[in-house]
Amino acid sequence: MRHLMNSDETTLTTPTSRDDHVGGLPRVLADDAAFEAWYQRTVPRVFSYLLARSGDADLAEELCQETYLAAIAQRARYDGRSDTVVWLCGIARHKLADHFRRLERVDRRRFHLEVREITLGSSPSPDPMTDRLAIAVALRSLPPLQRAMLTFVALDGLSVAEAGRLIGKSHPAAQSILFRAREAFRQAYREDGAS
Amino acid sequence: MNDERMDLLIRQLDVHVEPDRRFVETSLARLLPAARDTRRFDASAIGRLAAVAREGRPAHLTRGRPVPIMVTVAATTALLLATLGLAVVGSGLFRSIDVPRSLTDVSIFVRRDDGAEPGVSIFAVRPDGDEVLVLRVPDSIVPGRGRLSEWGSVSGSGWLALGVEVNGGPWPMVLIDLGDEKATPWVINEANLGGTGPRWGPTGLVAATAGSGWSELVIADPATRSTRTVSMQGHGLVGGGPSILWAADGSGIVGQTESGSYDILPIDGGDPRPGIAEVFDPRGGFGNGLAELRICEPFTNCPGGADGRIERVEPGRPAQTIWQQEGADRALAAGFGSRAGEYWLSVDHDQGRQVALVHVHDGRQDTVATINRRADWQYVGAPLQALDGSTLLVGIDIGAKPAAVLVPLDGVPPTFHIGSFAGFVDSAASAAFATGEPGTPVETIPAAGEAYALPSLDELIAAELTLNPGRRVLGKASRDAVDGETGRRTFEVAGDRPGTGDAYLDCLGPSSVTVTSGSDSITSPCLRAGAYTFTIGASGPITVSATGDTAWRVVIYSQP
Repeated sequence: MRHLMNSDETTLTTPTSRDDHVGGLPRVLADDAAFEAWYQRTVPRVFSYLLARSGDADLAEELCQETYLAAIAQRARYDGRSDTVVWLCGIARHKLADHFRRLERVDRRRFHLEVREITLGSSPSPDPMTDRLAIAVALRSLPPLQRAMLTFVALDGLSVAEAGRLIGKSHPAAQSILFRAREAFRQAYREDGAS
Repeated sequence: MNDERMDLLIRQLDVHVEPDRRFVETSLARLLPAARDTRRFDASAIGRLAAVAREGRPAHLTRGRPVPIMVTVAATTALLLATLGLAVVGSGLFRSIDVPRSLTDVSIFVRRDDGAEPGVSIFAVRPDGDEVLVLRVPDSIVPGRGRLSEWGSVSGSGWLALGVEVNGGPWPMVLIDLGDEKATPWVINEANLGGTGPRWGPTGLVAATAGSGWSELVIADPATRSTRTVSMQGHGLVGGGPSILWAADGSGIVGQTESGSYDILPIDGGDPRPGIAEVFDPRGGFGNGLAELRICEPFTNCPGGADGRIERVEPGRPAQTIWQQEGADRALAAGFGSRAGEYWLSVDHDQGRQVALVHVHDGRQDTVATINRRADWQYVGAPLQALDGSTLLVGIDIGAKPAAVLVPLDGVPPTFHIGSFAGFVDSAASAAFATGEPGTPVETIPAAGEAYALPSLDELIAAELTLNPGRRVLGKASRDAVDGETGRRTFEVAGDRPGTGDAYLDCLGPSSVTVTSGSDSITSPCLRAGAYTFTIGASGPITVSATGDTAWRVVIYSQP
């Protein structure tokens, strides 16, 4: 069992200041050494991005791999205007949205959610604001599309319309899903006694 | 709990977590082969053509790469050649110039020859179309190192720079003096060409990428056989390719900063100089001020719409329209001329059966020549003018092979040549090597124009598998156009096997085609030849939306 979070965690707001985005993907694809250096630098960010949003290390690894394969195949789309890790996270976001949509289709057929065990490497803090385990459990209890909407809006800062487009919903439908997601999260978080 | 507090709580999940080392190792081991295959493709003839289209001549390749097409080119007789020589229409359209033929520039072509002794053949093509074999260079000059690339660049004084394709890289550069057949080729191991070709500067020096991740350039001086290494100082090269671009005075190379601004990196190792004024790009991809040209067609996001006009786009300045489409003749490619405000265009004509070469200058638009098109011509590049103004060179992609049409500007019929065009050499330098026994090119321009037609699925697949033999076909579908069927319909791609693959979409017709799989989709405007590609989950439903009057081909290949 891998951990959702570990003890040496830091926030994801640390900017990357490396220069491999100058020259674009062709530059990091120039030889094996350049590619490996680029991969080693960017993979913690991409993996962390996916793990925070999926809450599942195995899934984060799987989507991480898909993200890099897509990045290589779609290298011509990288316009060099941002660090490559930002571009990679954009691809990862779409992979995640695809996953939530697939999950939702499966969920609709099965009429229930698969519940997986989640563990944390760090001890839960008594402060509700830092009680990540309870937050993660509450988030994971939401139906896939509600979880996707809340994740993309709260974590990625997307507008309702943008998040809706990602999961293939109209603006009104996305608003409705987000409203229900917030209600469900309030309920789940209270039920766990964390707030 | 209000919404803001809820969002704050959820943001607590956004923490940094190091991935498991075993995952990192196995993931990297699986990604490296894909990266290598990509590198090989980008460095191949087709990949480079795609890069040229992306970086300098915004044409049909905005999101992907062209699918090679296997075409059998019929050999023709000398009599036919003479007949076909009259194929250029529009007599009187040529701009006549007063330069004695013996004093005009020659064009240098490189052809790959994988016969008994693999290597490359270098040809000089005179303005009258005759070809002279200058040199044959076997791969064995770089023993055990790989094979010589046919994509080269020649200096005005007759030095040819070629790459050596080495599996896994790096790719060294070889400099060959065309004027001295006994001279030993100079292998420059500091270079690592990868997907970026070497570029000659205005002072006779050649620059090539070097180091890991292209963090350095190597500058070579053939006159003194000396090299120096120049750090990119944290800068990147320019363009989507990207490309090496010299400052007009040859003092440095253009570099892009992290913030997106541009500097000149002096080749003497000095500090970067901010700002770009004049640049040296004889291939016409960039103009002064680092301007580029773009054709406003569907999906290019030109403000004002996709009306086919050509815009000059320069950093820090509003876009400027330099050519406006009138009628059905749309622009195929555009490049800068040697003078300020001068542009060369290739324009579709006669419903795709001809290509008009248009000279835009001094507020005028002159159609300088019109060439009959052959049905197997895919990409048609923008005309390049020889430095002495005697001829134009139009790059052509005929699938697996590069080619070009040479158009003398004194009224002599144009000629068609197989090979990779490396550049022009001035008449004085070429006198030393372009005087051998001339031969006529074996392939010609057709007597009557032939509109480009989409190849069959089998031809497309055969060509792709020639380039990438390890691939498998996961699914395929096609439909030919039916005149008058303007209704949009949706088709499903038949899958032969499940898996994740690369979808190649080729289409041609009056309306766009969209391929969709899950949340992924790609749309091609179908205005001209060339494929769009994207990665697709081939196990799910894949649909193609197209009108009946647009022909399309979709093939899904396993990933390398």
